[in-house]
Amino acid sequence: MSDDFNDDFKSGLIKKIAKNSHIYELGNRGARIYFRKSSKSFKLWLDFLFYQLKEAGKRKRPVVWTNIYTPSELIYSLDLFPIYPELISGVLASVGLANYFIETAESKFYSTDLCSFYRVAAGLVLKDWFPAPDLIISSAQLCDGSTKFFHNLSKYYNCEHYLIDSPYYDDEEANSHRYLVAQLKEIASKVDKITGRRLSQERINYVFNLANQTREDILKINELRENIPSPLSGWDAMAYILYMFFSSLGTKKGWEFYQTLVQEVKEKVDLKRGAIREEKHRLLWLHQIRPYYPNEIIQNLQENKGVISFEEVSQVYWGALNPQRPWESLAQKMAANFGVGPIERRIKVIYDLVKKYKIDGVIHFSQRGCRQSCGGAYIIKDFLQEKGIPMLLLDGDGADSRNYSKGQTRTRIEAFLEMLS
Amino acid sequence: MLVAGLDVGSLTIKAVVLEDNTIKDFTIIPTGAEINKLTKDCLELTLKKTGDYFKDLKIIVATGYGRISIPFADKSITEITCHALGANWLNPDTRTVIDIGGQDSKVISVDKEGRVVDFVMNDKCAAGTGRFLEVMAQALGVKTEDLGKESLKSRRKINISSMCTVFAESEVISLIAEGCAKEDILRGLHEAIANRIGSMANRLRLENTITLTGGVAKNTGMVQALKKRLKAKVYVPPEPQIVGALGAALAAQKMAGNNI
Repeated sequence: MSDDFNDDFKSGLIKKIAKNSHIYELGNRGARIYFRKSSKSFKLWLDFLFYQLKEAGKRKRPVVWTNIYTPSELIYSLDLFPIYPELISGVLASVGLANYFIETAESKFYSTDLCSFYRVAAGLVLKDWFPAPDLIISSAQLCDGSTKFFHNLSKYYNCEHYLIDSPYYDDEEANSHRYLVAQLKEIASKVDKITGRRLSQERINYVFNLANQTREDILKINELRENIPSPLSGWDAMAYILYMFFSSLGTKKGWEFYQTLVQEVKEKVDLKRGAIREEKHRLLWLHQIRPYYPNEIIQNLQENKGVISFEEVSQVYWGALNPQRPWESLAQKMAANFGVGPIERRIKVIYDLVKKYKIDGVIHFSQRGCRQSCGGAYIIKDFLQEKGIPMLLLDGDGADSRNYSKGQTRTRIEAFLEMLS
Repeated sequence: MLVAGLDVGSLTIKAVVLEDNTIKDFTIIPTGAEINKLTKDCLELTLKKTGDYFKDLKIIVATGYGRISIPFADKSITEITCHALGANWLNPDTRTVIDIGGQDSKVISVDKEGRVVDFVMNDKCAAGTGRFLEVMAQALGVKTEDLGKESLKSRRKINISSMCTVFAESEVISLIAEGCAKEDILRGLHEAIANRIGSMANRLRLENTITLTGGVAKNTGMVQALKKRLKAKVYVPPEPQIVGALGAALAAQKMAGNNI
């Protein structure tokens, strides 16, 4: 009885603290002291993260829960405030808190076969630690777990859920862009009704211009990353940088972050300073994520002189957005996603990256519960093998550390790098 | 030139002492909690048999899951690379190695020089490993070393559907309760593992000759089931359990600059 009371008391207290926007101000200050020796770009990410958490709590603008393949430019143009449960799950995993939420979700019948990032997010919802959404906008691209998860949430919070259904083929003649445009326009008009504000061209211009400038900076970084030794480790690129990649396009803070990162990467290139001391094997990482909980994968790679020179998730696959044709531009961005459609499309991009970044070996991280990425892994492997590029299929879990086996993972990575030698 | 290879596995520790490309002797002992000490003991036992001293060893290479815990080893190399080297040395026609060890199983494609071309490993569970068979042997009251001999007596085919060690154990207990013969259950277990390994092996381009390594290759029933499943030319070395340690010793020999 007293344990239950203590648990309820603690949970209630944490809930109150978690929803108090001042706590994030304090958190940001604390984090800045703790990470005082980190790079400027990392600190800018911390600012952005805490700013998002703080502002969402204030609820000055409608809070939208969304996912990574919903263009953030759409969200910011609509003047909504986004929360990305998948990204937050990654952050929680990196500070060792994910399993607490995973266990909460599993105790409420969330299957262990559901992607762990959504189990963390479901746990957060059940614990009520986050500002509830006013509405949900999600994309069905690449991740079918998210569609059901957000649908479930819309029932839980009794709010609208707009799902952007993406056509399989990027084919203008087959009206695939028009199909997307119609959905985006419909969402915009519904959001107008919810917010009571009309979408302004001025706002679109502002957001799209920022997003385009940021896109230019990402392109610069990707070009700089062609250098040997690799100036930026993919391990970092898939962590805080990825958070910004998906959630900050169309914001001033996002542009500032990428401007800083360009400088940092350029500085390393000028000094010929690599991400690791001795670079022998240049690797390409496939799949959008990596394990975020404390693990030894990066040490295993580094000890064997392997560096993640690039990762497919950082590829800029879309063109500059045209503020005069916002819906068509966003539709084009979504339709250009090479992860959607026939596997040959993804293979073509992967092979281009292999050549561009002078890759020696490819690691495909097969996330448990992710059918989209794992389904094509063997086809990619066969293709690359014919081209003489070895590929390792590394089964694992990005957020649930219970599925990480240190010894087994080490053996796979070391054997792969020994093979490359 | 005297070198040593140590394979620190999850169930056994193996040591091979190699001199001028010839195996002088080897030792196999069970793994325990004090891995470092036991590995040293295993090596000392081998050196005692060969009449050599620790200081005479030019290079020591460790492999196996405990390879990083051996401070007196000069280098650690994964068991995947070592099994490939060892199998190639024992039979240069080897193009595929199937290693069924205590805690995992691996299928390795090798070239004619013994270099790894590709590999696959089992999931992180005991299904299809030596540990799985040990648990089943215990449930059936059969000694591990008699598993093969017993299963070859089988006259009736029984299908074992579970591959999870815990579920398979309860399935075996149910079959005993139903009055099924031990040898038939054992044959069913071997066939179930062979099917699992077979599907894993088919992920690679299987090429002859297939060399079976690891402790489980000593099990004649398992070898028979695998031959049937793989429909390929299978080679079983005289002592399959030491192939990893042998590969480590060969790597040590190469490091010592005496690659004969």
